Amino acid sequence: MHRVLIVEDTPADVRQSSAVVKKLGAQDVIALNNIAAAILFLQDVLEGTKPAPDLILLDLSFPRESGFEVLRYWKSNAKLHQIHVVVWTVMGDTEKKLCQFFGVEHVIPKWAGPKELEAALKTFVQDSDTAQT
Amino acid sequence: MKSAKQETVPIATSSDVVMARQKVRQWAIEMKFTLVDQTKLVTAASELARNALEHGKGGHMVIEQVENSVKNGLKLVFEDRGPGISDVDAALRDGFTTGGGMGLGLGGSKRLVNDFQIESEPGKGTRVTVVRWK
Amino acid sequence: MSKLPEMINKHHEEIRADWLKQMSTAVRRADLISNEELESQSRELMDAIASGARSGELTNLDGPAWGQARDTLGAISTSRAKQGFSTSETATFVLSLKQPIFNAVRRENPSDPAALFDDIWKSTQLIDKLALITADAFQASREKFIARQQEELMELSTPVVKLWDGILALPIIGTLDSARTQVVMESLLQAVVQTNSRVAIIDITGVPTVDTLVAQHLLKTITAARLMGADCIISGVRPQIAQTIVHLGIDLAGVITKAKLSDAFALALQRTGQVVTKVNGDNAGKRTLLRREE
Ligand SMILES: Nc1ncnc2c1ncn2[C@@H]1O[C@H](COP(=O)(O)OP(=O)(O)OP(=O)(O)O)[C@@H](O)[C@H]1O
Ligand SMILES: [Mg+2]
Repeated sequence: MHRVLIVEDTPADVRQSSAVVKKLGAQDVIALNNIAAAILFLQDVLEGTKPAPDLILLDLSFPRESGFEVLRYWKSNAKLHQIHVVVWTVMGDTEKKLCQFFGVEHVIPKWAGPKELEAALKTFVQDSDTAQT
Repeated sequence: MKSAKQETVPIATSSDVVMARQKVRQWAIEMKFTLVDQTKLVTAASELARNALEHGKGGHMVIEQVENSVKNGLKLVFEDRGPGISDVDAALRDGFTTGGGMGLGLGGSKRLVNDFQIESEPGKGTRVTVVRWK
Repeated sequence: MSKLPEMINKHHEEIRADWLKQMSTAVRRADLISNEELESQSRELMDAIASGARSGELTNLDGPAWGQARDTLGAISTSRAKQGFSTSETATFVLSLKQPIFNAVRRENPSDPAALFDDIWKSTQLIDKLALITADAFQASREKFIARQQEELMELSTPVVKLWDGILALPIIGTLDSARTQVVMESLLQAVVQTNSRVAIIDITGVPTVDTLVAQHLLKTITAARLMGADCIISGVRPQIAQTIVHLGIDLAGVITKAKLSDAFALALQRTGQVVTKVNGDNAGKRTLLRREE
């Protein structure tokens, strides 16, 4: 987990989550605070003008925008769909179910706090590291 | 002759609710209710049968053709031996639910029929009687 | 006139291939039927449909032109009744022809939405009729008619179909109870994700009763779809159903409803940025064009 894209509008949550991923070894953390920017970023990744992140940490609720748009874009392209996505958001059962439909394996509720995020990411980092070697 | 006809339908599973609806539709068609009235009767039956199943732990529906001096009607009685309703007025209020429903079934079915009566005794059960006149 | 009969006749091999492919991905009850049998049944039926279509008659299937199709469906029903299929499984075999025919219709009318509506509508009705013939034949081939089967007959459901890029339709046929409504609605949401659709049309023409439970599931689905950026349109709300919904006190404000599936489709095209415009053609008079709005 070298490069991480954080899509998150709440500054405090950006601070918390980037601290967590850095602690787990991320060198390059990009934080974007809106969906349009995130989608443009992924377009650049597809065009090869930006390097692909190893992980996207995604919030779902944004004022006037929806994190599901990022999931739609991610799922619509086979290359993008290889990037791991972790959803970290305030959510109910509906959001969780929809995330499953998109094939997001890791859906972590924010109310559980950054400790929970770290615990979940830890197992995930091990998984992806063993998968890559 | 089919006058004074009566039939009892058990309500123990959700497919019984479907059967109860079909029965009410058949009867309403036989009695030549208009399409709108058929739909109202069937929908009210669906709500009350489901209440008897979900809140009343099951029971039965009695369906009966009735008449007064001027007209014919279809009478439905839903009876269960469930926990009963402690506050009927509250239960009738739109939006009131003790489950995860919309809380519209009881009040809604009242609006879909002409006569509506609830008898309920906490701990003993509930009986809802409705009539729609032609 | 509609080119649908001609299209079915001409492309029946492709349609059949598409159909078999779909059946192999859907639940096929491999425990009950072999690949060879499925292959031969689909060939017989498709041949019979093509021959019926050759007559040009697609609405009345009682005539001699459709005799072969009726006989074939009768034979298929009898053998499936013996094999232990249920009524709805047997009818689904026929109903699953919808998507392949829709696909062919779309290939055939890439730029003429008016003809497309028309053909999609006609083919829906055709397949529904064939499915009903099947269900009837199936029932008749059973010795005893028990209540449970009558209920199943009411539970026929068509799968989610893709009408156009970004537009799905879910034509619901039959009685909805709690469990079935949940399954049907979830399959719609899943299809929205799978096809990256922006509009989902839920057609309730074939639903006999809309009570608070069905309404609640509908509203939940609409909300969930909206969360992920898809609009739902409810079509086929018959006047008696609309009245009952009002009496129940269900608030459909904010839900788009249309009387007919074709109206819903037209709106869906508009919503997805595909507009239908009438322009004056150079020599052919009025032409209908489909274009993407920039
Ligand atoms: N037969 C019954 N036995 C016991 N309680 C009942 C019965 N019928 C209704 N109730 C009570 O009255 C409440 C309101 O009933 P109503 O049918 O209006 O709403 P609901 O069943 O909760 O939801 P829905 O809108 O799906 O019908 C129920 O939540 C339940 O507490
Ligand atoms: Mg109720």
